[in-house]
Amino acid sequence: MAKKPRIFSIAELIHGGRPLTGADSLDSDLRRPSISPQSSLSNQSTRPIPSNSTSNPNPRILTPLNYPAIIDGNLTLPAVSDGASSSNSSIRCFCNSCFQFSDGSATICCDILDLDPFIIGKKIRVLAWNFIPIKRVGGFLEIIRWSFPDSENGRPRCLDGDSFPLAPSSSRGCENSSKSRYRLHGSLESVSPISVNPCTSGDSNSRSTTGSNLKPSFNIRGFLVRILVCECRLCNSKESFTILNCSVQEQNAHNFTKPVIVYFCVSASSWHPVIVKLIGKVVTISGLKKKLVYIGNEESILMYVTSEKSYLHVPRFQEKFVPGNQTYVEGKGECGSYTGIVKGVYMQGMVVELDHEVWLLLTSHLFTAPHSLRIGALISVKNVHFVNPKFSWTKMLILGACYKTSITIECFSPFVTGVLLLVSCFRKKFADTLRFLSYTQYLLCYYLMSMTIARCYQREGLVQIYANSQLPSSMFLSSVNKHGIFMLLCKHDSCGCEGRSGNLMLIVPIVTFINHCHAKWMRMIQLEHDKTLQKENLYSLLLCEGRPYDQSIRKIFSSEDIGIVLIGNLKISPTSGRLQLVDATGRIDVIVPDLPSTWNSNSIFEVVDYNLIIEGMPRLADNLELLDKCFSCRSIFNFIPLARDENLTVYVYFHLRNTACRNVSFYPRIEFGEDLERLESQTYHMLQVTHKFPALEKFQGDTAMSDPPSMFAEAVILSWNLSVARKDGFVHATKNSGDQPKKCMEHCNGKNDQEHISKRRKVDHASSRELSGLVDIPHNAERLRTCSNSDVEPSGKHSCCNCTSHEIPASATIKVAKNQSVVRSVILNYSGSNLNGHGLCRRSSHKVFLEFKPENFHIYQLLQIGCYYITEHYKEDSFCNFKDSDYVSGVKVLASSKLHLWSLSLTPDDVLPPTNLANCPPSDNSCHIGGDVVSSEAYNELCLQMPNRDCLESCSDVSLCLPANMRDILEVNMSELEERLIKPAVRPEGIAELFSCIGDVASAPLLPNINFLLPEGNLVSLRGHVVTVHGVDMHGNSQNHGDPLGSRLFSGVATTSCFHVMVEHQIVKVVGSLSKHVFPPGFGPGVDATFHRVLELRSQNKWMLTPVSFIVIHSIKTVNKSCSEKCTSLVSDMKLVASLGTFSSGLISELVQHPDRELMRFHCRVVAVNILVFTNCKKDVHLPLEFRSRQHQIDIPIAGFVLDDGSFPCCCWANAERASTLLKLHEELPKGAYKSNVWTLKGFKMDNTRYTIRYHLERILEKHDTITVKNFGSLFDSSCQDLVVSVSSDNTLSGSDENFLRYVVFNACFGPFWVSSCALWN
Amino acid sequence: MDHPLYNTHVKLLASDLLSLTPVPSSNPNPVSFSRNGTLLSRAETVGTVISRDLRPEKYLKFVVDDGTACVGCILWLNHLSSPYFSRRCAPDVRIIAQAANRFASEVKLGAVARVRGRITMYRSEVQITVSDVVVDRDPNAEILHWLDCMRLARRCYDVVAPRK
Repeated sequence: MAKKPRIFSIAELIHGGRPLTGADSLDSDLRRPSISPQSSLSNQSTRPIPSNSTSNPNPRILTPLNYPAIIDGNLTLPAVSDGASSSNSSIRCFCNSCFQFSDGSATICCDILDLDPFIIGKKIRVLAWNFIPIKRVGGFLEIIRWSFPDSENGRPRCLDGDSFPLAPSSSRGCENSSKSRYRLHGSLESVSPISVNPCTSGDSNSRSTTGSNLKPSFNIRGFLVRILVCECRLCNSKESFTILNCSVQEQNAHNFTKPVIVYFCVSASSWHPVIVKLIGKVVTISGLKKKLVYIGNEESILMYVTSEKSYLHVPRFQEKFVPGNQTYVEGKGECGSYTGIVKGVYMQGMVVELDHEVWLLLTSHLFTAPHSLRIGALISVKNVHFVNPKFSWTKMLILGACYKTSITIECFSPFVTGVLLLVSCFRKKFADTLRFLSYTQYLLCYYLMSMTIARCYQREGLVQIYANSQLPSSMFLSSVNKHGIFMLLCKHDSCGCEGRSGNLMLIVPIVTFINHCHAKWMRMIQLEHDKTLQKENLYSLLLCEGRPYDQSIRKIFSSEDIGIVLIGNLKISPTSGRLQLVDATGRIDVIVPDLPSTWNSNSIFEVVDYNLIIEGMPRLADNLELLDKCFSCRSIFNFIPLARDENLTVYVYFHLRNTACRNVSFYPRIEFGEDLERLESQTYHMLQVTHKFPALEKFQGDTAMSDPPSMFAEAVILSWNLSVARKDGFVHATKNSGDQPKKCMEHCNGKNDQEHISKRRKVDHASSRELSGLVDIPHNAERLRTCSNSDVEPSGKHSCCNCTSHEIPASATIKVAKNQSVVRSVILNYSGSNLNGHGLCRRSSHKVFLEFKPENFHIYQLLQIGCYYITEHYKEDSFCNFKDSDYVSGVKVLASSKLHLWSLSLTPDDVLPPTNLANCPPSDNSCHIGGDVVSSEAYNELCLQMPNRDCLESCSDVSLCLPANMRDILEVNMSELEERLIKPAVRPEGIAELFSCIGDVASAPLLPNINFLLPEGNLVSLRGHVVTVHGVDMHGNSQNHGDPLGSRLFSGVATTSCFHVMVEHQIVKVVGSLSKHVFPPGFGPGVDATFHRVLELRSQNKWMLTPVSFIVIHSIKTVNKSCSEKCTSLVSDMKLVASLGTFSSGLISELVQHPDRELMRFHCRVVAVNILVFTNCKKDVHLPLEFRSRQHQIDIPIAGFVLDDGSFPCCCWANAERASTLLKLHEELPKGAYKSNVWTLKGFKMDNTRYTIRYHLERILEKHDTITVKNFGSLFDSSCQDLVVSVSSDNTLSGSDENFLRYVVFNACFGPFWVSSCALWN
Repeated sequence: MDHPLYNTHVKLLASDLLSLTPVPSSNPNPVSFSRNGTLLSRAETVGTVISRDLRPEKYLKFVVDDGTACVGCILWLNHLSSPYFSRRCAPDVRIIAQAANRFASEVKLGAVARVRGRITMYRSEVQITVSDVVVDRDPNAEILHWLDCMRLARRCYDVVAPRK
């Protein structure tokens, strides 16, 4: 027996305030006009479930009523109100274009499936419904199924269809009145949103003006409809539409092709929700007026306008009209329809995710999405633009909504999700001005910036700044604001959105970006792994000191591969001192070789062209599935941070000045000439940065360093000052240059800069050669004057202020904007002879230490070792005012925030720098910025040039163009200076000479030789290719941490690192303890780097990093095994003594059978010891024990082990390092060893400190020069060895010492597996 | 090189190990075993310790299960009392005894042990007289041992020409 239905009132539902679904009636066999397939879907999804509404405060599914629940009421059109007084809308919803449902108790918005316009205004019984409460508005009713109450049933309806008056007062009798006599029969193509337009009533000719500012007498509310009509005779006739409707049965005879526009205005505008649902159907509209509408004062359009006499006729039975010209959608902005299920609604309804891979972008605030656009709803989007962005990282379809787009609900959502009610003011203000194709950029940009960055710039709106700066003006719909949608819809056939889908780029938060790239990297590694799995191990092992290391893998991705744009501030990390790109979600290390000196941390950069470098040890199958989802709509918009592998090193490399790249600082916009104005008419110090000191470490509890530590750079202030002229060519008079314009600069008064450069006086080469040796020698200054500048008045005194005799005229190309530079005349003043009497300038070059406080770290960041810089000279500047004495060393100058350093490069004048760099083809220099990504097919590598001296010269702020002879003078001067003040770097030939005696780079001990307890040597610069990096523990034993650059090595504390660097085809080791901050981002295997100020331990062929060492990277290459393979080939001649390389693994038996094979790797254990000889390598050194303890004194010149890998027991000879490894000398003596009475540790410390076996062995060796252990027993059974220990010294070996040595041997044999590399030795 | 694998600690799966056949020998080596005609005397196995029978200062008997079969192992702890060791160097014996005690303490039920030793026969069952034990903490140890066994069998043990 059917339950008796309960009748709900609207007020009751609103009062209840709970989302409900009354769909029980869908189970019963009740009458209804029709149930669409979608409705049956809804039927399933809203099947009643046991009520738990009271106990579940946050239900996911709409709370179902388990009994029939019906609502009686009237379905009406939205109330008409003009735009000026929309008081009624405040109690409804924002858009005021929803159906209304009223039962007398209350009125709420509603939507209905399968609308039959016949029910409008009539009383219906709602049999199945969803109710969604909405604050302030009350609620929203979704009508799934309805019927007429019995009283209404049986009302006769016309078979042909129904006619509805568009205005309440319409009467058919007036149809043929003179003005309202037009009738249209056609297919509804598109419907615009409702808009309110100021309107001036026309003159006697019925002229209407829309959007005119002249006489805005009233506002008209309405919407535009594009109808495709047929131009056949019947359609154009004035027959009554009854006749026409008969012919509708033969619709195929019609050809709906001609678009006309009908303006539904005033009371007809309330029909908007009905018309939207009729899109695609053939209707007849009669009683229309034909009007010429003026839009502003410029455009006029002939359109049809509804009148009080207008009727809408909807045939009852008809198929949707399908336009004949519908074509295949390629995704280039074509209009079409899409039906899908809503999976997510983001950014206040601006982004709707459909079917997981379709993003519907709702840009226009005029467009109002229906309230039923909730997660789970099946919607149909009509007249939407299809854009396939073809992102490399995902398949995605973007549906761009415009003012033609309509959304109808095909099936309501059964879920309790929010209802779109109000659009944000942000969207209202800005979103509508952008066309949707730019919207992808815009909305994601909005997302991340709205979080943090925008807080600083709220006044203008950062996204707007970004959009204005980046997008062409055609992408903005400014006309929407100006003339409404009239112009757009009427003037153009299309909305202008088609065909503009090219080059869509996505901007994502940095955290999402990193996650995505991690996933991409993992995928690539996995792919390679799968390919190589059958052949050999993917990860090559590095052997150093007899211990294996895994090598990390570095991959470089270009922005083209990634297809993502990055936006953020460039800031210096307060913790690491590294340059980072920062946004609201995260930060990523960046390398910018050509960082402009105008950069500051407030600038916001858009990085389009970049390379991403990821490095680390892959952990295959590590959350790959999870990572794949990092670019889902949900993760982007809801910001779901994914677990990130901390061991990965991720950084981005890009240029900012390169003319070819599209990376820009879009805010604040740097005005043209800003730099120039500052540079002009000033005198500058020239300085050369000779060294940058690594960041100081702050130790815990160090009270002396309460403030963040400063950073330091060493520079030499050169004896040359630079004066820059104004544009007119005159050098600004300074104290240095005198009051009178110099004759030598007279030629600079030319009409343009280029001219006077070409006219510049040529200086005799011969005389300049003569000069070159004199420049920095004061007493020869007069000769310099007379020779180099003969037309200048001789002063006769070299030491006075008159510096005209020491000037070199030149021209400088000053970069003022990214692609702009200007040429100015400059004068180089030689100040080496005490140029002025006020002591402002130095007499000669001086070395200074520049101190940078944290707020000025960005200046430090800009400096490159070896580069020249100029800085303003002003009264009492720090570079002038230290104590005036020759050869002052170590003067500290605090770099204030006022300090600005422009980079300076010197170029000969025969290569004139272009004034407009944009027109200049890329240079062919080996280090030009534009072509810095060098691809090598052979190794599938990319090479990234890093900021360094050479690169900076091609992108410096000021490029000084000197006559060739003058440049020689300057260079001679500089080189003298280098010899005097700057430690020379090791020349390549020096390296070759140095390493000519290298035989075994691997076997040498880590620390200096026996004659030097403390490292001694010169501080030099060493440049080479880093082959590998690994950590070394404090005992000199290697740590196999698997991730050379990841966690442990650079964990913040200083650990000893060992770098294998290839210099001149020789592999050398650079060893030292440095904190992670010292290492520039990207440092690791595969980089070409210079180690500045490393200690040259010549006698050991070793190089030691010191606390002042600084590493500069020149280039980065991808690293996979090809790197080490190459190295293997270079060291193959070293055979057994090679310290590193990768060898094929095999069996000892195979090596025995194939003696021609070279090094092989075995997985073996020590079975027995054949012979061991220990010697004390520090016996001759008579130093206190404390010093000796820092170094190892055990040498094992002879060590024979029996190794067994299961295939063959084999006697192997090992060098000292490997022998000590096999003997496990680095291990601590087990505690049990103390307790036993096996040997007595006489003289040994018996406290709780646990010492290594090496420690105890060293103690024994202090008494004996050489100790030999021989095995006369079994070589194949560890426990059957018969050991005999002998010593060379006169001292007899004590029993305890002998027992300890036996223990060492047995301990080695009862040990784990080793990976050993061996070659056969007959 | 008559018996290239005779002095090798061959890595055999337990099922393979148990199928070895003892070879009566006249040479000084007490017992040897044959696998496809190849003489073996020492072996290495890796598996989980599933039983343990300790007789202090006498022996520890334990069984190692490597997934294919169970191999009995005996670790002698009587070095200091057995006349067998009395003729050897006393310090060496003490160190070996100490090591054996340490091995015994490490061999616990459930531990994954890597056992090396001589292949012997006890009550018609092949067993290992333990030379040394390493308790492996690498969770992949067993699998790696399997791979080693298969690789060695394929590339070494099965290709060694049987000796007459």
